[in-house]
Amino acid sequence: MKDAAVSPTPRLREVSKTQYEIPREARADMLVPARIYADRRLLEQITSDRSLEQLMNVATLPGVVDAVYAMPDVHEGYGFPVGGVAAFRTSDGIISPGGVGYDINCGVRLLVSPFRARDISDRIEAVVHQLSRSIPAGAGRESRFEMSDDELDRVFSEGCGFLKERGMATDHDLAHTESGGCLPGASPEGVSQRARDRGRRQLGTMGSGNHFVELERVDRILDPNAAEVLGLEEDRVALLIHTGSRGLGHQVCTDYVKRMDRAMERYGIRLPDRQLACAPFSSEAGQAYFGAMVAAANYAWCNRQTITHVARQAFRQELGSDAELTLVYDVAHNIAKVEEHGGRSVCVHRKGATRAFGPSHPETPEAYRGVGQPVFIPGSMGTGSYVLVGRDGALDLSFGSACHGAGRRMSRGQARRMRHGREVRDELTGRGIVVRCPSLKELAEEAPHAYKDVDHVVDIVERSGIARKVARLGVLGVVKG
Amino acid sequence: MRVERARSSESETRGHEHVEHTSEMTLRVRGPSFEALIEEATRAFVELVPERIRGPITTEARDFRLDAPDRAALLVDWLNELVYLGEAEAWLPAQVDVEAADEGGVLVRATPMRLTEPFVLVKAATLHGAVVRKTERGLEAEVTLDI
Repeated sequence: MKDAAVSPTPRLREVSKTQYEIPREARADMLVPARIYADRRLLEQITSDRSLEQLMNVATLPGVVDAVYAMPDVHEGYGFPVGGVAAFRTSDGIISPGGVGYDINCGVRLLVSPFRARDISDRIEAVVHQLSRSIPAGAGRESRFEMSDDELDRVFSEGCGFLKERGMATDHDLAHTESGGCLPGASPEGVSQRARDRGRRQLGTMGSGNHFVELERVDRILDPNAAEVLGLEEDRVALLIHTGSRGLGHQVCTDYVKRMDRAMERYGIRLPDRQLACAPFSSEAGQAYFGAMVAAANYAWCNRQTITHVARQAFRQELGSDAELTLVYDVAHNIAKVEEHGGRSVCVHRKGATRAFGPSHPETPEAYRGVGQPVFIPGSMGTGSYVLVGRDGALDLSFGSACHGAGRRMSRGQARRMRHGREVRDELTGRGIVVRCPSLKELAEEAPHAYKDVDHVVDIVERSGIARKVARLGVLGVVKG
Repeated sequence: MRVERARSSESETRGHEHVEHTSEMTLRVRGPSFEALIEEATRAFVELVPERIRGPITTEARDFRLDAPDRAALLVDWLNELVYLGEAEAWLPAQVDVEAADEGGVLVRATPMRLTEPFVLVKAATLHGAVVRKTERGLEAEVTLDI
């Protein structure tokens, strides 16, 4: 295998210590400027791939408003960069499947247990082992919840409400999930048979790549008031789940990129990159994609909820009947949503970016109105993760969006060449972290050295005024996809 | 650039490479004709399947007809067909025979290799930078996979 070449760095203007701008005039086809949340050190990493060129491409799409944004974890994607945010008028702007990504509603949820790590230190390995046995992970592992077409339709339309009816979710779970775990406007009929075939046996599965279930310990409280509201305290054991809509979402994206690519001429839209294929939001193709994307997003919330249900069983089995896991929040980081910004109705595309609404926003859950919507930023395996809360100012800074992770800084092949999976496993084990991963190759690909420094990335988000840190989590055990 | 793996069957006119990016992979294939590009792209894709899940080759061939507005899109469509077959039906072609069809389409006859479990590594083949171009020795194509 070879590593790819990169393009020249575009002209950048320093706006502040944490923000850079590529002016609209930098390229004749840009309609708005591109803004990047980073400092000089991160910018060096960001400019080592084509992510800023891709961000500039997004700034050319019809109906784009204000500016397009790159989060500090941005890296090159296909079409849109991963870690990119853009909003388009619903009246005359576009919607783009590539602006959401293949893993529709990939996201993260955090659950907190009643236990302190020091009180169950001798049970950690057993809990992680039971989680790895219960939650299908990695290539090929299939769900024990096979769905009929009718059941899939209900998942698409009702989201987590369907699972509540089956005893797999609670009212508390729904109230603490973005959009209640169900976006309105799903079009089950817009989800192809192929997408259904791929998703039918995957509900409650983690998948491979960077997806994981991690047993965490709250290492440090950084905002005691907010932490108390979120139910976090030092040494508390928690569970972090990262996965999305699996093959079903991938196929929905494939189907609609193809459909829109064939329809571009009809809409008279010229693109700098074919993967940016899009259609007017209000057009038949635009609405068809939006309905199918909503269905896949609801499937993804059900996927994380099903894993939660199974994880709760595993906790009770290993730690007793009072081993409850309480959902702190569940938030998407690959999604397109219709929101109001600046008095306009816009379709906000967050691809590898987390919604981060402040305390005053009506969509911030009632329980968190005093502090802001929780935002979870997983670090690389073994380096720790962050809990933040959105700030009201984020609406003006990034359409209310924060980063979604540490961000890859090298290819999977490079990561493998640098360290063998066995070495990575031994190092994590040596630090007392329980590791369950079906493949040493994937362990090497997802090792800490393959990612940016999460502490630094989160620091930029906080210093930019987008969100503020609440707690830092350390890893006790990891089940990798 | 660093070459991590080269196919032993590679020649100057025919072969393929896997080019890695930060979060994706590009298949670069070359051949004397478009039909040969499809065959090479199939080999490059199937090489991603771990040995441990490769099962027996069956004798019952499957036929496909592919149509697209241009050759790059057609190649992407074929690779997405492979993504679907590997994940939903747990088989991939051990061998393909490709013929040109009318109106720019192609006919593919695939000899299946069963997989012992679904192959889910690749999310999709993308149109991002997808290209088929003429070279001095024939044709070359690039398609990026989201993995």
